[in-house]
Amino acid sequence: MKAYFQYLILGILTGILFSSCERADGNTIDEVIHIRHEGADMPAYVHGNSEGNTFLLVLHGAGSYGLAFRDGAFTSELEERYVVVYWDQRAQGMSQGKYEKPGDLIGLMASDVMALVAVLKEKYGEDISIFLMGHSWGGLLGNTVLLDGDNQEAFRGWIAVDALHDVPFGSRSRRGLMLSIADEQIGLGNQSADWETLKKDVMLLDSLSDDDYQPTLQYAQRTMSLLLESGVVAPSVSGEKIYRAVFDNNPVTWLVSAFFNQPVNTAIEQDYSLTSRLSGLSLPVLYLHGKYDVSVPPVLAEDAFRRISSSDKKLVVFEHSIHHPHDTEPGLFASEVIHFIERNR
Amino acid sequence: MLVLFVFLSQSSRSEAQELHTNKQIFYSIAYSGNNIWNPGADFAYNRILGRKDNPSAGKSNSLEMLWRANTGFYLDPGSHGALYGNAGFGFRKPGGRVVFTFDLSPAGIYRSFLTETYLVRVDEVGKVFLPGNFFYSPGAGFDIGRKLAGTHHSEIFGRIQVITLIPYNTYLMPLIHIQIGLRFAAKGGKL
Repeated sequence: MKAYFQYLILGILTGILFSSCERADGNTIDEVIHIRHEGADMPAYVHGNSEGNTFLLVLHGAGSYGLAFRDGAFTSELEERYVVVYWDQRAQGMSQGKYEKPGDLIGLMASDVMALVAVLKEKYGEDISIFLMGHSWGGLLGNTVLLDGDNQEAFRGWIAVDALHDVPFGSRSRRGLMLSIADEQIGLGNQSADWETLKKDVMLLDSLSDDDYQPTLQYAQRTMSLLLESGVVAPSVSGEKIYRAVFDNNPVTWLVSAFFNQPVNTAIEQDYSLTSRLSGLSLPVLYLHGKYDVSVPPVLAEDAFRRISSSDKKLVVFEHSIHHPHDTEPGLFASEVIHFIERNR
Repeated sequence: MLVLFVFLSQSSRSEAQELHTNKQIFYSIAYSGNNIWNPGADFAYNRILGRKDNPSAGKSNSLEMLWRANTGFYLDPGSHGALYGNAGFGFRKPGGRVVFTFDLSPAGIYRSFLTETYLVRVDEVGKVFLPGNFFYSPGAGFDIGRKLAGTHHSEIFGRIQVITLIPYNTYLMPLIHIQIGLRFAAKGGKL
């Protein structure tokens, strides 16, 4: 009985150790690897078709996690053609480790991205083509990576989805966008009374005042609610996304990590801006932005588009999206990404 | 806990209460779900250090102090597995058929096991052997048990156990385990 019990325990432990081993079926990669860098162990969920040796590395937004993207356009279209790497950034999602709070957090996180690139090349081959995609805060991180040294050479292209590059500019732009959306919806006769009320409140805000920062975010939330109620945009949360948040991800670990560690707050405290350096971007760039994004207004994408020196660049505005065009207009999102990758890989 | 221990010791001197030093040992085995659905198991050893009875209030008002040690594991299939062990003291209110237990485990250790891991140092990339991390992991638990009908030596219980990994990233990380299991007395003893 005692020996049987010992074998049972040994079997269970062996199962733990090997349960997440690589599963490769022909050209399909379906595995989880970790990157250990500067005290952090960060999971990368690697899924998709490796036939073309093309990898799409996704940088998630603030308070999010890699697998939040693994549905809709990503599973039905992009993983069918490419290998998508969903990565949990340092102290986000399921990342673990032990380290002191770094002085230059954003710089360290940018070096984490390059560590991940080094691992992908080590594991899957030096000849793989890597495209970088960043959403929201992930856009700020991606821009930081690309504007550091010769990092651009590691990527075939940069896909900026509702991406941030200048925190103060983003904050200043919200008020104007909310007013223009209100005017548009009043003109269309959509819930006019609600939009009139919102417009009156937003007009009292001072976009340059720190005191009005939180109220602006609250009105931005109200703007998004009204857009959803009016049916101007589709909801971005699907059943599959909830399933991934609860079961594929560990919701307690994710939420507690996000509570203690918010790198975007560091960027806000520092008034982080890359505007003056954007001309240094010369690789192919695709900007994808929701027309009604009151978190990162589309004027930021227009500004970045004008400033970069890339000869191959395109800006696509999603007419029925807020902050997650990949969720609300997945068909258009996938076709633009595929077209961009096929042209540049 | 220290205050309660002193209280227990002092109150044993009063005439109205009696302190027994029954060294009863009992074990438990449980399904232990990290966030309920990440499967695992937990094994615990409990030793009763003493029991304070209050005869005037009847048996249901007695309180046992126990020493507890447990070990367990779970698998979060998406990213990692883990082994953990804790030791500490607890209080058990045997009462009638329903039994309440609360315990604190200031001593604890947790080891995660990660999937294939690559260490990156400057320009070097290498695989890590047995990747994972050790964390100090104090914990606390509360359970409600019910004695099985027709027996005095086993009971089923439901338990919530929280262990906190310190330091985790730059702060800490609580883990919640929901357990359902069986507790049984050693060597024909009674619970």
